[in-house]
Amino acid sequence: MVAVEKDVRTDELVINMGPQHPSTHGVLRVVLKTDGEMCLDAQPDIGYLHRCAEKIAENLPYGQFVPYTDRMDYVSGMGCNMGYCMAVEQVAGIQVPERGEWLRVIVTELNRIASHLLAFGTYGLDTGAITPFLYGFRERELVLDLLEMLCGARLTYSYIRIGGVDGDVPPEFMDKLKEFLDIFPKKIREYNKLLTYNHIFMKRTVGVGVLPADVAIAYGVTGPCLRGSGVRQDVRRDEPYSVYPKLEFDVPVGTDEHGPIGDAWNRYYIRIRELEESAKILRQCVKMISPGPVLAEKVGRVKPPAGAEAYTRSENARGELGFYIVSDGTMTPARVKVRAPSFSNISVLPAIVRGQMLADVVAIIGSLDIVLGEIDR
Amino acid sequence: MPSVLSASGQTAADQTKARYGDAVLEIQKCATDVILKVAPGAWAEVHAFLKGQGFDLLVSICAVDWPKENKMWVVSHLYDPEGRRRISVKTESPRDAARVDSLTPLWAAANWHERECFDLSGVVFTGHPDLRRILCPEDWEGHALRKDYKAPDFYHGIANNVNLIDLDHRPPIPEIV
Repeated sequence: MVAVEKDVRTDELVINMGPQHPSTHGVLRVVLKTDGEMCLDAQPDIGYLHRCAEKIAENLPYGQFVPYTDRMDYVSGMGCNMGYCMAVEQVAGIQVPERGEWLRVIVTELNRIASHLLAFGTYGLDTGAITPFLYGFRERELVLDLLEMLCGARLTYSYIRIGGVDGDVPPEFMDKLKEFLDIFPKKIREYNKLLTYNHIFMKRTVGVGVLPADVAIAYGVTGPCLRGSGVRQDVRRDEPYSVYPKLEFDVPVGTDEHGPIGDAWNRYYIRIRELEESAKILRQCVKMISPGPVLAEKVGRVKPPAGAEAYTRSENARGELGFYIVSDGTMTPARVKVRAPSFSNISVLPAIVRGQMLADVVAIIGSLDIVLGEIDR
Repeated sequence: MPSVLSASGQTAADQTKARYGDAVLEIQKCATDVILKVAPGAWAEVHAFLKGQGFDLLVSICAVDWPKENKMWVVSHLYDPEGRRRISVKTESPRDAARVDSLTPLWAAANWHERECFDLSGVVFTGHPDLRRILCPEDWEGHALRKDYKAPDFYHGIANNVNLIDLDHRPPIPEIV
């Protein structure tokens, strides 16, 4: 390559990206300040999907808010159902029967697989690879079929209820689940061949958007984005809830095998490795689950004592999902605060975009795997 | 499960109490956390101390409105990734003067959480570099999570309630400037 000696004069230019843009994963607007091909600043502008779900919660009985949680992180609704129900159970002192807990873990892990497959597919699209999307959706379809068997819904489930789950699984569910788990490892190897170690894909993502661990923690980044930066943190392991203490699984973290720790490729690859871990968890669940009731008896209308409060954390597909509930002793909560993982994860964008190429902004936003439904709530 | 969780922040709470004395009004316990109830003036100091104790992750900041008692809580949740400890800090101020110091010098994460808290609950964070609305439009009136909030019927001519939509007498579409 011949080095260009001549000075090219460039001006700063402000570009508006979104809110209707195919690579912002919803209605996110980013105000980019560029100088030539260099990106100097990127300010995310959120709120286009704001419905104030927290206000809705204050006007509904506890049980009726469950369907609204599906609409927050609509790609992994089961995790949101579970986070909310766990918080209500803490303030109201409800004990979930054992089989209910096992089914909760089965459905949330299945949903995590579905969510990571979507992230895998759309990340391919963001970086110019159209085909992996179709492969990801092929297996996601199998997962959604399984979840449909349980509750009839494919995206907004409301299957997890306060005190357990809505109903026991149909008899053929476990066999179908085993079938899926048998074929799934082969499919993950296929994804790796197709996209993970694809030369073009690696050129696009390795070393791009490096997020150092200390910056990630300062911004409150959690989930695969934080683990991609080499921090081994996972609520399922650190503060095990439900039946996670009985399960064995690894928490994958980013490595410097192919490039710097915390780059876009690492964040992407953590999700692929979590697919394996989720499948591992599911295999143990299928073996260890035993018959019994799935829903606590006499939950009825929940009325926690006045002044009761609880903050529960759970590991959703995007990171730490927190629900903070304060009760005033009535049938409706005094306050429900949702700590959405994507909200903190996207706030780190300006810090990692600075100095990157303009074309890489899409690759960086995609690697954060945000869902605008839960950012805006 | 609950007892293990709430016990994890007890030592840090006791240390904070020993250090700040009367500024820590009370150490409360709930199902999941130890809650340090502090005077509004000590909000930032206590957080700085806790951050020094290893609570590196600011998980969330939110406000709870109690109109009958004329109180506004500001609550934060912190987490220590190394020691796997959690703690919560709470402060109470009058509703119309809900004001605490910003935590942005301590955590970059505080920036957006405080903006959200200001937007929805109307709490003012002194020293915040950019205290604007974050979820609602900039010209929105009122703070939605206050208990006495009334949603406006119209916003720039757009009806907020389906019963207010009058198809026969539609307002003129405002010109885009």
